Amino acid sequence: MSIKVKLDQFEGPLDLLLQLIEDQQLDITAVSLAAVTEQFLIYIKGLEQKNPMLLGDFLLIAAKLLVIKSKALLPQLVLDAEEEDAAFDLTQRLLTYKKFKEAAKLLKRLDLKRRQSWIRESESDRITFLPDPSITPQLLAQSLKKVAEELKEIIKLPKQIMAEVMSISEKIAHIQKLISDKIQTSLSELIKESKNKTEVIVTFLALLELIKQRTLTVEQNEMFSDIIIKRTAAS
Amino acid sequence: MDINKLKSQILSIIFVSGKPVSLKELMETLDADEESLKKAVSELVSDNQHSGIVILALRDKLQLVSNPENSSQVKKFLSLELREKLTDAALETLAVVTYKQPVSKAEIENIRGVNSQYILRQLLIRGLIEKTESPSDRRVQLYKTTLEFMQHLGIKDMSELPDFEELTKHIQLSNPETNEN
Repeated sequence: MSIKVKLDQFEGPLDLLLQLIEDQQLDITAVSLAAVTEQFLIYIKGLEQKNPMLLGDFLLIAAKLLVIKSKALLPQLVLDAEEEDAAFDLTQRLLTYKKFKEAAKLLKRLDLKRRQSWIRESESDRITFLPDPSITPQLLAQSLKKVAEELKEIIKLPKQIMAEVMSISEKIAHIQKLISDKIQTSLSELIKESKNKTEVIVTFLALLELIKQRTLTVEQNEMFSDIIIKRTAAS
Repeated sequence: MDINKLKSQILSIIFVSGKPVSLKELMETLDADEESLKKAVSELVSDNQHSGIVILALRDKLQLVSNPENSSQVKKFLSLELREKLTDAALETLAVVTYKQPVSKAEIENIRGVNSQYILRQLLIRGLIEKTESPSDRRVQLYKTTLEFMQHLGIKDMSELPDFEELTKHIQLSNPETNEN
């Protein structure tokens, strides 16, 4: 699926969401939000690489969208009151946001008129630099050096080594490569190389994603027996 | 005191002051109570709408500025540049501050759905907004628009700005255009 929206074009997740809904000429409802969830997530994927600073704000809204989408797909799904509120106030927030965008347009029209006013130039406000007569350039340079030395201490931040973590997408690539070499493998085989519990979980999630994408199929002969992983015949 | 005399005295004082003058300062200088001062100020503002010099009144501050209608002539005479245009992020944030003031950063971010620390700092530096301590909670800073904001956008009186409800009444959950068919 392709997505036309460009990065940097949006002021934030609400702006993007509003645009997605309006592009499809939908009303601001939970149903429309469920309909554009996929596109929103695709956008986030691009954001991850280009502007991770903004990711948090987008993920927060994405989580709410996923709740709304789940509810739309599974009407019998029971949400607790907090989840329900968090998800469904989104339509109200979008409406409020849209109103302020309208107000921003008004300010923009005023700004574009380029009509400005100025205060009277006041002589007394002029800032002048009157150095002590004993100051020399050498003295100034020395002082500056001293300040720089002191700053060095301040900016020396404690360092922490980050533990290496394998991401789901890395794991997916790894499994894909493995399965193209081997045709068939098993879950116990995959997990054997995991270094810790997190990696086992990541492996399992990667597997689920590949099954969803219909790249792999899995078989299990009886309960708790090993899961056999095969390439999908068509691929 | 005769209101015309009071108006004349206020005008003289704000003329000689380079900085904005507060109502409090006027009250200390002039022999007048707050109510008659406020009345005189609001008359001065409306009397001078078409003069070359207009009076900006914001909250309790007063300032004389050139009429924004004469923007291009003044600019030419002083050979200065107009203030830089505002970005969309700045306009969006200013819109929230304008219609919600005094407003906290948390509230601004809730409406915009995005971290606004950086843009607020830029607006503060440009003098378009100012922050004050919240009277109910000293840890919270509240943002307001300034006299500089009015000068930038050529607003002579904040009451020129349309009411928020009026401005946005056509914005609803469902889009009337798509509902017609």
